[in-house]
Amino acid sequence: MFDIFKSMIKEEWRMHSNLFGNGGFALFPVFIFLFTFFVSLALPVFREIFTDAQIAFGMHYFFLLVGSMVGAFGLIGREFMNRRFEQASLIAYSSRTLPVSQRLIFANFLLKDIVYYFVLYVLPLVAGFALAS
Amino acid sequence: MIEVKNLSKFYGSTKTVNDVSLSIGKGELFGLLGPNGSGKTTMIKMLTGQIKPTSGSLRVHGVDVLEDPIRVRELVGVIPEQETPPSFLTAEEYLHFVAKIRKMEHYEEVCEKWFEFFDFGNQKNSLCKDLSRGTRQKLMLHVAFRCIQARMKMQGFYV
Repeated sequence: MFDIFKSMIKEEWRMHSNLFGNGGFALFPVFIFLFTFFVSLALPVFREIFTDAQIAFGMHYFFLLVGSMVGAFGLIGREFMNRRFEQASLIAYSSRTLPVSQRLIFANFLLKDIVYYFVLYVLPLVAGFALAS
Repeated sequence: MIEVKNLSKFYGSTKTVNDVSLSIGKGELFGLLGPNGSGKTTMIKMLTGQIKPTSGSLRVHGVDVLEDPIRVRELVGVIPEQETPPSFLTAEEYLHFVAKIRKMEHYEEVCEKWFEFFDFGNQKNSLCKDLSRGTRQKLMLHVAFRCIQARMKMQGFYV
C-alpha cells in the first residue's frame, strides 16, 4: 500500500530533522558525499602508508561501528523517543487500532528503511567515490 | 454483537483474565468496570485482535476475532488508553491516512467538518507531537468514529 510507505518516509524525515535540526539534517547527505569524495581523493596517500588489506579492514570496522550504533538505537529507540518527545508514537504501531495487518506495516517499514537509507547514506557515498575516482 | 465464551489470558502463572463469558446485544451500552489489574485492558485488546487469548472464543459483529482480527478492526473503533496518533504526522495528514486505510472516499470535506466540530482551529497542520494531550485524544476519538462512517458507507455523513 503506497500510502503507508509515503507516510512512513515523511515521518522518518521529520523525525530526523526534529532530532538534528532541519538544515543540519538536510545537509547530512552532502556531508557524506564530501567526506567520501575527499577520503577517496586521498586514497593514493593512504595506500602509501597502509596496505590494501588494512584499508579494507578499516572500512569494515567503520561499517561495523555504524551498524552497531544503528542497532543500539533500534533497541532503545522507543525509550529515547519517549524521553525526547514525551509520548512518541509511529505509524509502525498503527496495526493496533486500524484495520491493517502487522505484516503489511512491517513490509512497508522495511521498504521505507531500504529506500530512505539508500538515498541518505549509500547514494551520496557512491556518488562521492565515483566522482573522486 | 459481542459474544465472549470462557475467555482466559494467562501470562506465565498470572491469570490476567480467567474464564470470562459475556454477551452484549446491539444497541446496548456496556461498561466494563474493575480495579487496577483486573484485566479490562487485556479484554479490550483481545476483543480487537491485538493479542491472542490463552483459551476461549470471541465474536464481534459475528466475526471470529481469532480468525479475522483485521475485519474486526474494520468494524469497530478503538481508543486505547495510552495510544497517541503518530507523532510526526500532522493531525490532518493522520486523518487522511486513516481514511485511506479504511478505503473511504471524499474524506477531505468530512475531515474539515470534524475539525470544526472538535474546535481544532488552526492546529490541523501541527505535528501530533506538538498537540496537547487532550487534543490528541480528540483526534483519536475522531479516528475511532471514522469506522462508523466507513461502515455506513455514507459519503459526507457527519456524526
